[in-house]
Amino acid sequence: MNEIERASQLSAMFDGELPAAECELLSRRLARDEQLRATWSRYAVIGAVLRAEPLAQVHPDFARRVSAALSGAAGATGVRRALRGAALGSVVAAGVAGAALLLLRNDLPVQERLVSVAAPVVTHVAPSSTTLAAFSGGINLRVTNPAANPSHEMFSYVVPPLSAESSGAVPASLADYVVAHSEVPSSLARGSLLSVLVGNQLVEPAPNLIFVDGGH
Amino acid sequence: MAVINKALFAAAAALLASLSAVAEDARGLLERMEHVLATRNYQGTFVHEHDGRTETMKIVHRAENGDFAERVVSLDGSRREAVQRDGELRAYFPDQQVVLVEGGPKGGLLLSGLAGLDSASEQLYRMSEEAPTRISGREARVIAVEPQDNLRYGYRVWIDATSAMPVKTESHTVSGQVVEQLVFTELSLPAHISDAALLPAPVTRQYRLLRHTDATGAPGNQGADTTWDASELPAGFRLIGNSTQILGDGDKSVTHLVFSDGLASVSVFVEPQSPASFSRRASPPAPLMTNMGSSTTLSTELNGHKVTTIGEVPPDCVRAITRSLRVGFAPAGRPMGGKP
Repeated sequence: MNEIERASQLSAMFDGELPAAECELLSRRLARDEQLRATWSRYAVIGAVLRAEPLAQVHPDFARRVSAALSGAAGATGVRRALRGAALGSVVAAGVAGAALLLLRNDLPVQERLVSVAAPVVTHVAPSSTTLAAFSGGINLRVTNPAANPSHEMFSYVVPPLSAESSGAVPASLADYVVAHSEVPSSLARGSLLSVLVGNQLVEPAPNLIFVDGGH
Repeated sequence: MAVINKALFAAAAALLASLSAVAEDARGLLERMEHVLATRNYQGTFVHEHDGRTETMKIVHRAENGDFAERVVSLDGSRREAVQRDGELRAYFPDQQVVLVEGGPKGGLLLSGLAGLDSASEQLYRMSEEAPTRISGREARVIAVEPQDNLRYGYRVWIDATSAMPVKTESHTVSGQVVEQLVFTELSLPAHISDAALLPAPVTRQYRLLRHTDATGAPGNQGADTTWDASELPAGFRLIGNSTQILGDGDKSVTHLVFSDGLASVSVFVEPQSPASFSRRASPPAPLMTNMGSSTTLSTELNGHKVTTIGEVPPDCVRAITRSLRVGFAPAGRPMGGKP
């Protein structure tokens, strides 16, 4: 099995699409493959970002702590079992969540709901006593509804990086111009700048917005 | 030999015909998307990704009985929002207790189509349809518009095959680097949207209201003494708008020029600086460029005028348009204006 197939298998496990027997094998592989654990962690973060969850829900050093747990005093076998249990638990939970979402989708006219990946399909994997100690507080695993995401399209999603020239924020002195520019006809990306202005909370107050008669 | 030539010709003709058919299909889909965006209600949640940032927003768009309204709300941070209704756009800033009011655009604030892609812009962009994919279990067709130089961005839009609603959009550089993405995580097309869903959340009694007004042709406005010339624009760009506006607190009269290549639009705001502002400083301020996802702004000073260029184009394009501009003060008795 090459790297792409392995990643695909991991993605399937994350989606709850992987048969239980393969989950067990993959769990063993996760226990000894650091790169694979990093991929798993990345999927969790991407899933959280896509569904607008606070990233704090997904421990950023998940992979490292899994690694630490696996090499720790608790015993590799016990932790592997716990990890496998967590993975299988998420598969079961994913199935339940997926079924719930399918019911929801079937209740609605096709045209009424196009996208619903934000439906609450988050599964909190209940850690065993071993994993409680190993993962210091447990892990929130994002499990995607298989029916809602069969192509793993969303997993190809990347956050555009911050370039050298980017600030990512609209300087407040430009707020007037951004709003004025928003009336200009444009294509496809027309609302993106207004979206940045509305969504960004790091804009510095513009001088003409600060010095107000009577002040506030 | 003649047989071979004939066969090659036939094959080439078939290839051209198939390419043409693909282009028509893509255009047909885009036209359907335009129609849906203009005529259907929709609401949902989307994630806007740019510059390593993630912003989550909610959108409510109503198009009923010729009435058009839209509300975009930030679900993060300060709960800023923008509401377009009754011919004007209001941007609410609860953190600053300010409302900016602008004459509203004709279309939606957030989503628009690719209607500007005409025969002239075909020299600048190449449109194609990519392999369909699935998003949230539904078939999505993917239309790509690739720029032919580094003065504009390319676009990719994932369109729900059934409803023709765009469910994901992307802007990228000519080399393919993604600079901005917008993905719906929830989207529905309700038959009716109530007035309540379009009401802004902030209570604005104490807010300061800053109204932008169109002062084109108004006597005595400060923009009247500005002349401009933009005869060396980047390839494909042409002037599509020229007005005088009052921005901010009513004390900022600016000439607003709009240039477009058919898809991307760039605004240039030119405002004369007061003589007092010259005397207070030793040298003019350095040009300031800001890049936000697929949008770029450049503020600089040209011949006693503050010039602010802003558009959904790469920095090179903003620089080129700004450099193409010549501004000055009109002699007394001469009408304002300029030439593209």
